[in-house]
Amino acid sequence: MKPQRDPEGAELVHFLSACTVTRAKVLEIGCGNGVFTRQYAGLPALLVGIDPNAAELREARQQQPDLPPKAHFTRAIAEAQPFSQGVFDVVLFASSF
Amino acid sequence: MHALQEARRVLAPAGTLIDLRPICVDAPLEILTPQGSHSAGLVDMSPDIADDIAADNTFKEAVAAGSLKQVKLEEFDFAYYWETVDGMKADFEDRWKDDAILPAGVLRKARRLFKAHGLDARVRLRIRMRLSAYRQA
Repeated sequence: MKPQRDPEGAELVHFLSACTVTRAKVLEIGCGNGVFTRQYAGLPALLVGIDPNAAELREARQQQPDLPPKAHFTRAIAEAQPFSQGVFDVVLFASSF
Repeated sequence: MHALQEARRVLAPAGTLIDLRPICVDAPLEILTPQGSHSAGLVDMSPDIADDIAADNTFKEAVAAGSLKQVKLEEFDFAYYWETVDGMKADFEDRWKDDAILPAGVLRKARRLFKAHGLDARVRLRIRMRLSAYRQA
């Protein structure tokens, strides 16, 4: 049984108070099934979630119709990211460091 | 390449790096009812402590080297809710077994409290989270 995760929204409130994601390019490392990603997906200009777990990413992508087209999920590990240098304004280690 | 080095590589100059993760301190497990919360005891969150300390040290080294500047540090509560104790136990066995230890006595007490409070009861685990924000130098 999957739990209800942070229904109070504490994680989102603290994250948004710590950085500017609106119209920014954001990378979320360790996005898992995208449960947190979806909470702020409407704000950035570009949002990429990466995770090494294929099953979690599959679940994230199944929810993709709920996400804006500027949000993407990619299978990758934190130690070897398929992105150019300096492209993100915000990089989030989401319980993944 | 280390994860932090790689994160810094893709981060823009003056960009913000956020490290958001649970702290390895015991987490209260509670049975919630319309009348209030009832403590079942503490869940041991220490299995990840070596990784946690290593991660802390990696960030400290980056700050000491001048690669990152810490701009924010805060802690807050973060809760998971389950509809039943059995559901919580199954979830622990499925996804949390490397991260937390649910002591047998705490599980027993949770079951007893849950049974006593019936259909209105829910299970809550309150984890302490830490958010650290850094500015890329």
